[in-house]
Amino acid sequence: MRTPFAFSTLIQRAAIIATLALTPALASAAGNVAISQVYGGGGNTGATFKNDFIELINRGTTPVTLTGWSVQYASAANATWQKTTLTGTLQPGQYFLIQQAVGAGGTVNLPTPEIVGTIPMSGTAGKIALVNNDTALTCGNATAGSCIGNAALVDFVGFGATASNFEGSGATPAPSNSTSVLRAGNGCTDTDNNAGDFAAGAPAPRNSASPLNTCGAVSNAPVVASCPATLSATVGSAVSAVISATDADGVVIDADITSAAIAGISLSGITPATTVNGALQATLNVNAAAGTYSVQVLFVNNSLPEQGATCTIAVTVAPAVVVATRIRDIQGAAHTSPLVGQTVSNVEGIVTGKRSNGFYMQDSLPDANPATSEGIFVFTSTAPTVAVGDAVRVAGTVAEFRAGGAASANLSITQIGSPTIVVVSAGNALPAAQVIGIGGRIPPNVVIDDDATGSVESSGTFDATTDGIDFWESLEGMRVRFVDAIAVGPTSNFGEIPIVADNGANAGLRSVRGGIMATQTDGNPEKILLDDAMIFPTILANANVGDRIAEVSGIVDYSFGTFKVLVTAQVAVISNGLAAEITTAQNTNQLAIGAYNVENLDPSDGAVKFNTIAGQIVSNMKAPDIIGLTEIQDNNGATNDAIVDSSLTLQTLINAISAAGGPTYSYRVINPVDDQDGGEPGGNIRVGFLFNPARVSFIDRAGGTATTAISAVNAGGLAQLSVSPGRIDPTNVAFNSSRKPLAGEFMFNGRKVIAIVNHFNSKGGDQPLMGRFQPPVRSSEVQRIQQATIVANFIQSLTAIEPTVNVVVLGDLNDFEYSPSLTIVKNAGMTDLIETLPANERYSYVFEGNSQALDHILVSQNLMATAAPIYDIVHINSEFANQASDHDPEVVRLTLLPPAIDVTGDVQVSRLGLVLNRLTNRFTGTISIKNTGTTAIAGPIQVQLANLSAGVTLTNASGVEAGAPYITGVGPIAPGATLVLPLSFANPARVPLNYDVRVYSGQFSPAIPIPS
Amino acid sequence: MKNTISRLFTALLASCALGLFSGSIAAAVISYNVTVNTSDLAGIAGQIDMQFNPAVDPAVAAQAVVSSFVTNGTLAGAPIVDGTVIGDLGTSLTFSNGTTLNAYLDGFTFGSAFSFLITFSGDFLTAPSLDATAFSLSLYDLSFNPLGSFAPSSSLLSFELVNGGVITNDTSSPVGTDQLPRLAVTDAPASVPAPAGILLLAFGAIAMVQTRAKRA
Repeated sequence: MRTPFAFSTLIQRAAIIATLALTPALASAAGNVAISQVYGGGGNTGATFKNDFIELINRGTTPVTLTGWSVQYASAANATWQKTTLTGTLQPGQYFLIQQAVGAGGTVNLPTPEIVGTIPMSGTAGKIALVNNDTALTCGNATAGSCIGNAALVDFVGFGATASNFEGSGATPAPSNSTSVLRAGNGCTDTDNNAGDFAAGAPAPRNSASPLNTCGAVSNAPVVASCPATLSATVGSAVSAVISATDADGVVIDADITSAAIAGISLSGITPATTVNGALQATLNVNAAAGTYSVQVLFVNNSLPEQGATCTIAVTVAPAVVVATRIRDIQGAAHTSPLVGQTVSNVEGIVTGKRSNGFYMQDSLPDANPATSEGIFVFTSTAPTVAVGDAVRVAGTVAEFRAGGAASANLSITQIGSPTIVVVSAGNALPAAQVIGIGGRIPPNVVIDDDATGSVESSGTFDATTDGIDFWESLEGMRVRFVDAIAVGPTSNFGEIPIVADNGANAGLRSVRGGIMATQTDGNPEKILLDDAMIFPTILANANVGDRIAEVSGIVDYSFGTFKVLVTAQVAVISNGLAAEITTAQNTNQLAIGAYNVENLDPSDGAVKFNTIAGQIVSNMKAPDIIGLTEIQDNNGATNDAIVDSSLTLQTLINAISAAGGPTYSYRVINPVDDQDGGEPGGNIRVGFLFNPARVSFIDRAGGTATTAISAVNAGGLAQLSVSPGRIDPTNVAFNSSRKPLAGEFMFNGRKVIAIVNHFNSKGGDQPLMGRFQPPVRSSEVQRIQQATIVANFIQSLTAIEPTVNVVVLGDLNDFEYSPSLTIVKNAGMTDLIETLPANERYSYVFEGNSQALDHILVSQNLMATAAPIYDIVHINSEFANQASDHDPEVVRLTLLPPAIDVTGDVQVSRLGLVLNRLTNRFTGTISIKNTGTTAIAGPIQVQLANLSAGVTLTNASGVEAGAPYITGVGPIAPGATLVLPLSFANPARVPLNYDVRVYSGQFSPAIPIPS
Repeated sequence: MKNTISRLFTALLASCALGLFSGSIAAAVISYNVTVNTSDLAGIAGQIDMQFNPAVDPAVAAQAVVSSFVTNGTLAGAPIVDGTVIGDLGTSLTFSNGTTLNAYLDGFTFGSAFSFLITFSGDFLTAPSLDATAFSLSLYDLSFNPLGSFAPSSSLLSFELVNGGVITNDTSSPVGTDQLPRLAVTDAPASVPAPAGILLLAFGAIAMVQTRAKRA
């Protein structure tokens, strides 16, 4: 429907009509001949035609003889006329061309003129008169008077604004070198008003041979519209087209869209014509939704009744499509799609797998570029209706889905959202799975990423062959296949099995039992997790480290910070028979100290867990004399109430150990303040000691509480604890929401050992190894470093008092042997015993297939030097699908012999004379120790040289005890037998050499090696 | 090769036997003839080192006299002496164990052999002590590299004066490819037997004969 004109428009239109109606038409007897066109720019610069010209027309219905007439020209201001004499007869409707002066410009000759003159006319302003005689006029300006009204004058045209004489209200619009002034109606319109009858336009010289233009035949010319037939656009890209209309005998004054309104299609810039036959111009604008529209535009003139013309434009708005998009184009050689946010259509693929909210499809016509995945996830949000094997065409919007939100460290998954899915065919063979390993693509085995400086999505280079994170990204959504896979971690509670291909042929440092070691520089990108998410509720079969899977296929996915292969069928696990380790039992003089994270142990765990752990302690750990426990929960576990006491938990464990044939342990623990030590909410996990009272004794020093800070006390040169058991700096912010270290004093074989059991801040919150930020930020490390510093300072406060104090630091330190936190503890004079193991045995925990060390036992310098520590990580949990805890326990055996006994009274000592070796400058001799008693003297035998002369040194001493050197001999000495030991003295001043002899059975305490 | 020629019991017997000629046990001396085979060292310029040092200082008094030194080698005659040593090797040397180091070191160009008589005397015979005084004989080259010895002390021979007697230790290496003995140590006859010791002499003589017979 056409929109009504506005009231103002009606007023304007009526005014124009009234003006023209009141203008009288000029008609004289010979007035049917009129000047129809004037062009003075011929031959000028920019002109097309070489000559000026004047064109006449016979507007009447009878022939007119021009012989004896003349056309005359005067400049704009003057009354001096030049004339060209005419001859001939002009038929009705016939044109008559009079050529004038030629110029240097222009390239085109005029059509054959009827008369050739030589008048040089102005291109912009002047006066032309058609006179019915051959006498030059003398009128035409203010001085000479107007020519209008002259009896000989047939027609008169003043052109250009400066013309001094004209018909009607004014001169014509100004012509130029490239325009003439043309009388409207192709020369027919003559209202004796030069200003209204003429318009400037391209020169169009017509001569007598031109088609006749019978003026009287045209009575009501139609409005003529000019529009494009079609107009094409794309959603989101605005287009426009100029439309126009003219009326040969009227003025087109308005335009409007008369078809149904379409959002985004409109007219603008409507510029009405101002003259008869002038053009109305407007712009049709299109920025609409996709579709095909028939747009009708009505143009109207100023006639009463008005005339109109309608044009129809076929507008087509196409969707913003990426034509013929392939999956690889969407995936791109990058971590995020180059088409993210764009609409894609006709994306072809074969459905390879289904999930509850979408499906995977893969291009059956892959290219040769390994960097761009051929597979993708189509997010349907509800259960997809397609079937595996369907060939589909998908349209939708490319998106990157990042689990955990925009700030998450997870990589995103490229997917097609809001999909429109067309199933082309069903039952198609699936695209071939990419072999991972020998014969296919071999994953990098050391480097996860070596070039990003933050997010791999926005920095670094996408290296699909050398960087592990890029390698797996290039396979996102694709089918992959592994041959002879080997499990490097057990089946987890989440239904995941970490594997490497080809029985580990390309894998990095393998653990001694078939796993794969994570090291400071090797995050094991060759490893990937099998996941049962796509076969749920089927759960992946149980696998232990070293078990084999002959062949497995699936689709590469990413979740929880790492890449996974979603298997499409249950896997067949071939057992490798991995057995739980059994450590060596301690002997009489070995103090065995174990550490075990029992993973949130509380009575509600039930007898099975308690009995399992008890059996492990007895059978596998061989009942260590001291056990540092971590993750002991209170008596009602995760029930979040005020209970913090763990006596029931510990006693239940002790009873289970006893029932399993082990010793009846005692325990020491300090209950924490409720809900202040982190871990499972309500569980109040803490560290604690079990000890076998038949082998060791605990030195209790009263006063230990949850908030009492322990300190080192100097007791006559020996270090002891202010309270035992006691917590180290428990109120320090470093231990907020974390476990407080517990220290206690133990006695074994007459020797004291201070043990500190720890459970440092967990690694939760660290960015994942396969996360988007590389290298990953280990935020949890900050608190661990603070905790390690506190423990290290405490150790140093002990060694400052007694350099040879026996200190053992043990527990779940939640970090690696090469980490900053462990380095801090080691720098306090402690040796991390895990570093005494071969590199492929340094693990107590398997995280997503990475074998690594979180649990440690560190010993002080004296123990390291004298106690011959034998350290063992007892692999009974971390590598097994069925595990009592996620940690393996560890045990160290420390040889601590009883203190030496003075047996001087039971021996006879004989010293042979000394001989000075001239080469070595040493006095050498021997000393003989004869057992004069009736019982054997147990070794080792310490022969001490007391009161040795000043200036004399025993150069072959085994050590120094109480300021006197001694030599250690091997015992025992049977009754009547003699032990002979060599002596070597340095006596540079040749002073009288003398000393007293003391003989001891056993080991001095402490045994300090003499400086070398 | 280490060859213990005489042990304590034997030394005591010898002491008894020798004491027959010294007039009393207290006045007894113990003498040995010592011959050193240096044929593998003949012509080598080196040093002879004799020491008489106690295990500890002070010690029970003892003396050692070296006499009758005979050789086809050449003594330098410019000895270095430490501690209580009197005389010279060419005539007679008397060592006492009064200081930690009592030593006589003289340059020597080895011949095929040398020999000497050594006589021990002093309180050690009558005040037995388990802390010995040792007479040692060592051979060195000019850089003090030990010659002909296996012992850490570098000595070829030592006499340990211990518990009232003498123990002889042969720590020398054999000579040449024929593995000839480097040392020959024999008891030296006492010059003045004491009448009061006749019975003891008889006992000691019988015992020594028995001992030597066993050794043979």
